[in-house]
Amino acid sequence: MVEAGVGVVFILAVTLGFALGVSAPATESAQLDAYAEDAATVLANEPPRHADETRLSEVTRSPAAFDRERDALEARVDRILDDNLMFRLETPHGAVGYERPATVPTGHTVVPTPGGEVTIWIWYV
Amino acid sequence: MRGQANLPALAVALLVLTTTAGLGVAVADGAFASADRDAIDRAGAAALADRLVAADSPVTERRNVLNASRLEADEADETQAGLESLVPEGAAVRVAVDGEVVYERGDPTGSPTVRRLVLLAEAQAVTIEPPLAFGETTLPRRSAAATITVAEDADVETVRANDRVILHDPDGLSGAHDVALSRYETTTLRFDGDPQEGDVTVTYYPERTRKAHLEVTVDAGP
Repeated sequence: MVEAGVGVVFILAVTLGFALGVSAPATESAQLDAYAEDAATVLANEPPRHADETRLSEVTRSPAAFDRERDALEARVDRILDDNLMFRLETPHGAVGYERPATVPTGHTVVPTPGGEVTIWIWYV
Repeated sequence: MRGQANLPALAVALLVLTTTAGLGVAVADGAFASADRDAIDRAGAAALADRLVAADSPVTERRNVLNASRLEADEADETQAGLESLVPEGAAVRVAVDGEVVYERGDPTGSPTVRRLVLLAEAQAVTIEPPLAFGETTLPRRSAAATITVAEDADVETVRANDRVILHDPDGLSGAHDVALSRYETTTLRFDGDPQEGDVTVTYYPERTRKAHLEVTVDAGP
């Protein structure tokens, strides 16, 4: 009878693992990565506001160019993204957007430009 | 005697053990069924969305920029045929732009939807008759192409866009010419020769873009 009890406890332990459930699929960050890539593609192919090749190479060219463009860049990224998304765009000369939270899933993408890499982080509000 | 006393205990033990094992298998089965992650549907939707926003897709102008006029009703047949060549066979597919269905085959409701951020571009033609007092004119907005029409007897030998020669004829240009410009910079057209006011008209195609969502839902079937 003791042996049967041990067996039952063993099987129940295995069952408990299934009953607790399998974690939800991590599809959120894949979707966020897609959003980040889309935003980066749109920005990377956009004409510059003043000079240089594209909008992103314009802001990475010099700290002065970044300071001049930062407000327009932030407004532009904000417009491209949905209202339920938040972003941070990092360039070698500084960043625009919000502080990146540590606890929520984020998507990101890196775009190389002549002046350095631009990283875009996206997460849900 | 001892063995016989244990027999009912053994039977009960076996019964309890098999019942528990059966229960465990049932719970495990339920867990696996609920863990159906629609992986194939999601992968299909993601791949189709990728192909739709690619630079060479039938609905895009360039990467992530959809051509708005190709989604409108009068060009629907061509667009439908183009989309038909992209979607996998035997799958139920719905493609929507900003909630409006542009392509549907079957009913994929309930399958995962992949969303992409795109721009909808609309180009309209604007024709100007540039003032030629200084032999040059700057197009008010950036445009990837332009049509330059020169009157029959106008005296224009060369047309330059930002100092790059785009049209040249030593005997004098005439007629309509399509030229490629850069959409990344403002274009200044220079007309070499002695054209009179009204001899030259320029049609350019500035682009308006607005943001939109592309939503792709795929049900790959059972």
